[in-house]
Amino acid sequence: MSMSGRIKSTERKLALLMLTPAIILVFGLTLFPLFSAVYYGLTDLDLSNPLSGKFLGSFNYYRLLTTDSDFQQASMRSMLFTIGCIVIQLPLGIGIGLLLNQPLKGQKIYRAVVTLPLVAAPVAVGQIWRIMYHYEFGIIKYITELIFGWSPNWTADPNIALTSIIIYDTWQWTPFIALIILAGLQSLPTEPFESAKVYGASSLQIFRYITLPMLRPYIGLALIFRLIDTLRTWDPIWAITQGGPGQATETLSFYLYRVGLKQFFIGYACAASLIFLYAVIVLCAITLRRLRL
Amino acid sequence: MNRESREALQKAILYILMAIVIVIVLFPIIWMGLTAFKNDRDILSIPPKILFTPTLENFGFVFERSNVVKGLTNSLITAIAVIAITIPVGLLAAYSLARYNVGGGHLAFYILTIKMFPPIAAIIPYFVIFRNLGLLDNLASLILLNSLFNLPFTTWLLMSFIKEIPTDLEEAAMIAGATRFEAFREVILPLLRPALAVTAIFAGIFTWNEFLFAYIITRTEAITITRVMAGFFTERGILWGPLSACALIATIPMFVLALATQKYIVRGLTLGAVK
Amino acid sequence: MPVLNNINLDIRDGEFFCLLGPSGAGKTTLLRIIAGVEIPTSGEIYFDDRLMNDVLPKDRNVSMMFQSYALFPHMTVFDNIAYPLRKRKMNEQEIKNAVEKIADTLHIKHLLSRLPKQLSGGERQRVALGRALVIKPDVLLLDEPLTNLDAKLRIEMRAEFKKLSKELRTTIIYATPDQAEALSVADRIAVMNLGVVHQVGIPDELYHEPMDTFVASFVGSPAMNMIECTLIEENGKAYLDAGEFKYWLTKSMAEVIMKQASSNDLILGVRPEDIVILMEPQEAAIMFEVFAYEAIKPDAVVDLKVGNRLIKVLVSRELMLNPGDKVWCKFNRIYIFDKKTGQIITSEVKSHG
Repeated sequence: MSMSGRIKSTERKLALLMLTPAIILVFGLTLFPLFSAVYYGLTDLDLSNPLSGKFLGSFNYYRLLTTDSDFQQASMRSMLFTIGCIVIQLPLGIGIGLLLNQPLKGQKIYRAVVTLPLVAAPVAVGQIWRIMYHYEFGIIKYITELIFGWSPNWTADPNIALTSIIIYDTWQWTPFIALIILAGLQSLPTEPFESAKVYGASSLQIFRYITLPMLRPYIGLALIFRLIDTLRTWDPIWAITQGGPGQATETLSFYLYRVGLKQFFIGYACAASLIFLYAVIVLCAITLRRLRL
Repeated sequence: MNRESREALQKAILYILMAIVIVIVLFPIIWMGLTAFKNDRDILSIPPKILFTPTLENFGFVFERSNVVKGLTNSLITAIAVIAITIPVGLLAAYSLARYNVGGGHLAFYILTIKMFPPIAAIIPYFVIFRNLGLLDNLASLILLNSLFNLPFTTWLLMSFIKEIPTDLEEAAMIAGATRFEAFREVILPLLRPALAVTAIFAGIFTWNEFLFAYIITRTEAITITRVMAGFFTERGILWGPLSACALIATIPMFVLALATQKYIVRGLTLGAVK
Repeated sequence: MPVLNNINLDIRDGEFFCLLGPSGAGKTTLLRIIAGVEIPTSGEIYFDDRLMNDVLPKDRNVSMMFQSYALFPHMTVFDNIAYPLRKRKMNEQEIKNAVEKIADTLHIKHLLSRLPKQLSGGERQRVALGRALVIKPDVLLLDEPLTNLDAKLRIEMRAEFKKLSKELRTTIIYATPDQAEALSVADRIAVMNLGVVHQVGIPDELYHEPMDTFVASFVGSPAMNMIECTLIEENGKAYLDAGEFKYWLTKSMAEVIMKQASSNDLILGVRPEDIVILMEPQEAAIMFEVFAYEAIKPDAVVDLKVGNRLIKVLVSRELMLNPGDKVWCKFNRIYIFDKKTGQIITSEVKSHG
């Protein structure tokens, strides 16, 4: 029987001690609101109605998942937004990452400039895109008309509004993907590439069969980050379209905002947010597992 | 086409592509800068004007009629406070998780899932709780919320940095006569200085740029610079000029910071990717 | 699969004890347990009569030199070496004297103000050694200290270590995968593989009296030839059937084998330097054909072939052999191992000149 328990337990105590502040902060600040949200989700709490707060059981959930078309459409829009963003930004990010990896003159400046969209407050930048997207005096409409002879009304057009936000999101976050890919490219060993060149492989073949597979973990990381972030997107929607026109850009995040903090249907919104939370966690777990394998 | 000119052409194409990227990246930022200096008529003009007489009236408006100074101060205080909270807490947690793997990955996962929370989902119960406790429009509440949401990222980033340092060093120190804590303080911590800088920069930027919490939780007392912008959406319409000026004021500090600490930011992302 | 399995070692005061084994043997783990940074799942560690299991590393008065050197990158060479002394709260003047003295002995005095990243591999190794020696530890633990050095430096440092061990009176425990190194510097050696100690003994014992096939083939270079064979009895006489040749046994050997072996499947071991090559057939000599000839100063290694089997023989350079030549061999010393258990059964020494 081991008698070395003492050292181990001293170390263990230190480890736990070091973790304690984090645990207090995290558990203290997440568990209580979480339980509150669970509780409220089961009521009809409405902050504009002081008489509300009746216990409803799973009525909210039932309504959300079956008859609430707003909720369902918002969910659809969130999915469309996320898929649209990822499908555009991932390849673009890889491309720009490759570009930034090339030995061009002024490379350092390019890399520095490319980080700027990332550090700008989404809500601040959102304002500018709102101005640029304006259907009357916006410069984007002007330039599109100049090039193509015609332009949609961007954020004023319900059919294009969500796409407009995707375009904005691409501008703000593609550099993020590009920088991760750049980091990946710089950490790759040179031997496979050199030997491929000796064997006469074309640039395209090298890219497809060597570069891309070796970048998989980095692409995976970028994918997870963007997946989580696009589902959470709220600031720019508020800044650019406020969920409109009508509800054309009302993703789940914005739906929660409207229902919970503008219309104050707290109970209902809590139920919706718990469904949302659950979906995000499941989605992430699935994606993580598929990537690690 | 011979090899030399083919290579020259390839290089030229690369430069052109890079130039396109740079132009697209800078365009909205430049447009923001231009708009901030336009008077109302120029902003609304169709077609949009590139040449115009610049004016400072928007900035004047911002400084006279809005809480921009208070906003800037509060943003700064909040950012610094959040850094002051999340860095030490995150560091200790990161060391504990990286070296001991307490809770066998489950605890780490839980902390990471906070990162996944859509903030809007979290803020609804918080809003109710703060409202009931009278803690709305309170800088402390804002700092608390931001700390909570920045902690996972801080912990995760520091964990990656700590894992880079071989355990040999702490063990050598301990065999040489140090306690675990002394080894941490005298050997690991000095090596983590750049890592702490990177993490602090990221935490600071995220907090400064944060809008949702500020919008919901604050009104006038704890107003941050991002919230100040919301004030330009009035019932009479959006005040485009002052809005742009305010946006410029809000983003310039971050641009300066990013360019100055460029090296650190790229390193931070690099390391996060290498994990 | 446990990293260390039922280790029982008794290391004597002041001896230079070697842990010899390939990677994964558990040598580093054992050193770390002795140092106190790794906790055994079960078992006790004693320094003299004192139970050390609950004693923190810092209180054990041991020094360890890591394979990676583990120098503190942000401290100068001086501060690196001074670190253990500062932890023991010596005063600065005494520290300065001690550090300079050891730096002098190790020929690194001129490097004291440099940072580790400015040093070469050999210099870093000496700094690590300095840090380990400066406190005059009860036990000095060395984890493959020479592995990262180039061949020439390695041989030089081997001699330095031997000299050092005679000067200090510390107990030294030295882990290495290099059997030549262990044989040349150690007082006693524990041969380990996959967490198990196979044999403990002085170099001579391990070389001439291996207890199993692992020790026999690991110790000695070129490695001992291991020939699988079966014991056959025929008309009152016994021989080992190795397929391509027969090796006739004396009656006493055969008896010992039959009594102790678990079956008739055996392994015949013979070292390359225990094989005599004759240019003409002789009684009881086995015929081989020369397959390859490799000159390794000051001798040569010849690969001999019979059927599909190759064995290696160490010969002097004067013997000129070419591939295809036919030669006859006699074995001066053989070892018989039980094929199933790997354990030694018996050995026999003849002398054929």
